[in-house]
Amino acid sequence: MKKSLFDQGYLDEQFCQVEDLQDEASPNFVEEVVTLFLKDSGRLMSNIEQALEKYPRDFNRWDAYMQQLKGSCCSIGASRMKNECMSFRDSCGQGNVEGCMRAFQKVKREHAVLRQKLESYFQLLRQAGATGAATRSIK
Amino acid sequence: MDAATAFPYGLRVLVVDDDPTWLKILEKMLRKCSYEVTTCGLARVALDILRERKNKFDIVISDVNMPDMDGFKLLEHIGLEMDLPVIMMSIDGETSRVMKGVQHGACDYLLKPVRMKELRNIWQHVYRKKMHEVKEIEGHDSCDDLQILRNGFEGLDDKSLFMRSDSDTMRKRKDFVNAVNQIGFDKVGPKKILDLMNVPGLTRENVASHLQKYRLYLSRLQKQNEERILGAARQDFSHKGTSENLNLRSSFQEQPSNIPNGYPHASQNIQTQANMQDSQLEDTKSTVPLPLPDKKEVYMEGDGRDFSDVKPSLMDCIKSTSLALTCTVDSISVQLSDSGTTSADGDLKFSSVDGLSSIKNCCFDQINSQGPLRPSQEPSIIGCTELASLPDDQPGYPYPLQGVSFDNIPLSSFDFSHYNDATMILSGLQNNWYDDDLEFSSETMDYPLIDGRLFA
Repeated sequence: MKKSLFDQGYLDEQFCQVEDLQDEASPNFVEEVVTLFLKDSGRLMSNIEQALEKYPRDFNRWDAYMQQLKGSCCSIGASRMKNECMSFRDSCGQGNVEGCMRAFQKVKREHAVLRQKLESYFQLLRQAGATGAATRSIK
Repeated sequence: MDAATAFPYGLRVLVVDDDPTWLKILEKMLRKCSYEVTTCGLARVALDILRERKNKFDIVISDVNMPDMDGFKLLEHIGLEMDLPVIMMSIDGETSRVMKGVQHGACDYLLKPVRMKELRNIWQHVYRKKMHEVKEIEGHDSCDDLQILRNGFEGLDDKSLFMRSDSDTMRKRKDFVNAVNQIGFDKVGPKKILDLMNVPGLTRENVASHLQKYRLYLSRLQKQNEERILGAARQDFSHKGTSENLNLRSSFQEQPSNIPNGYPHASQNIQTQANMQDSQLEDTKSTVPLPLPDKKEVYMEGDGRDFSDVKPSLMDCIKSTSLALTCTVDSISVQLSDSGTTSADGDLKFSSVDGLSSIKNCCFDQINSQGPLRPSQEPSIIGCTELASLPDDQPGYPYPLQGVSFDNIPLSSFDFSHYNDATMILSGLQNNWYDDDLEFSSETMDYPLIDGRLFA
């Protein structure tokens, strides 16, 4: 499954880096990080959502918030989501409200999809027993 | 350095990043490098931690985009206050940003996502600093310093290697500025400062790097303040007393004996004052235009005080007042004593502080007659206060912004109204302020020549 996640571009190499950090001292590191990411990015997205509503055409503000979200995506290698973040920022740069709104919807969608996929992934890992073994076999 | 061959296990790192996911990842990565990690999600908290436990960290890694404080600002603070190496991080690798990081003193600028190998290498920044210190000392006359350093290194394990012996950062900083002021900004050099400060274990390299940062800091602040100064300059005259909290400690050249130690960055002010020239000043001995220094900065002194708190009001005032203040040093004695003196009008007050003693040598006697200068508590403009008390025809310009440690001296009523009549050229002062611009008429001291007779 992981392979498909990579192939389809949901995740990139950064995710592997994070996985490499997992060790005996922190056996659930990856899952913890992902959980943290999903939660925090949810928060950042709602900030953006509010800003879109409360501060119309405040492209600077929107961009700043999105920059934060994009940074967060980079942390676990959420590649597709990151791309949508970038297109949002492009729209901001162009002063294109419509573009921003559309891009934001995409960001939300990617976030939802990623969440779902990652959750399944971890479930699989758990089912497979040892995380290490599962990872190797899935790979 | 024997220790140089061993990998710096236990290097104490402080990581600052508002993103919790990154913070977690970085912490893990650094732990994998066998470093000792402390994490922090807020820049302000990070500063507090560092201030509290300055000697407990070897290096700081910080993100650039943080909501509560700009990463560059944090970087500056750390560089100035703690002199720790700082590494910046960001997903934004744009050259201008990286340049900004370097300008603000970052040792390195990492792009996110950060790789393990990059983090493994951060110790080199710490070592490099130490190496420089040793080299400086070796190239230095004083064997003592080298001895201290060597002795220090030999007996230490990796950890201690990174520790600073002096724990009193504030005091050190204060001493530093005192020393700089005493020596004279243009003459200042790490060795001299080091000698004056006389802090055991402090190396020339420490001082040198701090000096550089100080200068950079000052120049940056000056630019910031310029606008404010310009704005306020107009009103200065009419304004009787603007209370401002001016904790300034500007570095300027001074002859040890006569030159006030603390010149508020008012050097800029002096420039504006040119407008208020009074013909009487022609009587004065020398007139030295006070060009707006590009380097006079305000160095905020004080514990944990925000460096950006420089209140340019002082400068504004000063600026607005005539810069051409000529004071005959010998005639005016500035009674800068801690006892505090208040000018007749009580508007301008000298903040007398540590360095004031030198001012006493300054000829501001006349000024004294006007009234005591009240330093400290009152908002006093370092050095410029007495002007208010000076009779119109007096170019009283007690600029001795001596207040080296103006920690608690708010810059207040800087009443320059009297300046209208007086053209005071602080030739000496001015020159003192500029590293490279000496239009001093030498004489006694590089001090403003206030013609005694100008003072009633």
